[in-house]
Amino acid sequence: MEALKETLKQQIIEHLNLEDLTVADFPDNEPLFGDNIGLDSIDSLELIVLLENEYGAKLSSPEEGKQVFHSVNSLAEFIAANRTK
Amino acid sequence: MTNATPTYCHITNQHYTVNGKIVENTTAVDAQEWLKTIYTNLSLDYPKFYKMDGLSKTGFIAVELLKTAINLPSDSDDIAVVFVNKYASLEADLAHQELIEKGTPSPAIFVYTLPNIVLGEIAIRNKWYGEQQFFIKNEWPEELMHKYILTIFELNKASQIIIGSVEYFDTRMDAKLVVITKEHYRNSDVLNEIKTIF
Repeated sequence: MEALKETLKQQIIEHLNLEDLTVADFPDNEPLFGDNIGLDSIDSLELIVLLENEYGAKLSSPEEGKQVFHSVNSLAEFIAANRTK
Repeated sequence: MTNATPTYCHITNQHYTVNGKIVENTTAVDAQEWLKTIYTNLSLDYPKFYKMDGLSKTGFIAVELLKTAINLPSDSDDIAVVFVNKYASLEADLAHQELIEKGTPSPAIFVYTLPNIVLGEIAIRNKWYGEQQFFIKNEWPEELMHKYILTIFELNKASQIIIGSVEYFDTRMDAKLVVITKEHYRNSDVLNEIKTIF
């Protein structure tokens, strides 16, 4: 799981063009949206694309996204449970 | 005629200038890297810059360059921004089309498939709520600009107008912006001055 989280952080930086951030800036359990990392609504759409393209994991509903996208931990848990590749 | 020349800047792949003076040259061939270099040189701290497409980065940086030479207050409805270019958002349009054909469209690229998004980025950055317009023209539309400037000032829509061309296409960038005040417009043939500047 730790390796997945590290990979995921790097992918988020690359896919979302967060060039001012490093892997070390992503605490595992801090909110991705809000003051810390500061992702926005377009970023959430990019995260959906990332999950589908890199892991073959699809959200079942928009409501699920709020919980899944909360933090690196929640994203990694979702991927581990739903990945198809 | 007034002696006060409007503040202006110019960015190309080779250099950037403010009021006609070269601030820095480059031999870099990558336009995106060059824009990042200017961003760093200006000591800016605006992470959203990295997410912008080339056109928005170019317009954004050009306005930041103007701000090094003239006071353009934040949180204002008294500043208008009027841009012109030839290729609109074609760079982002083609990138979006390519990803569609691959079956992997990107929302972050799609949102830049309109040229006037650069105006929104600048407005958000500076909290400018005034008149904004983006014209797509093959050549600099002198008569249209004359009428537009006149209308903005006569209707008191703004007391300063950032006007010029912003282009980013096929790795080539070119932004020429000038700040015109009501005083410039009243006291001088400012459109001829712009032609002289650029």
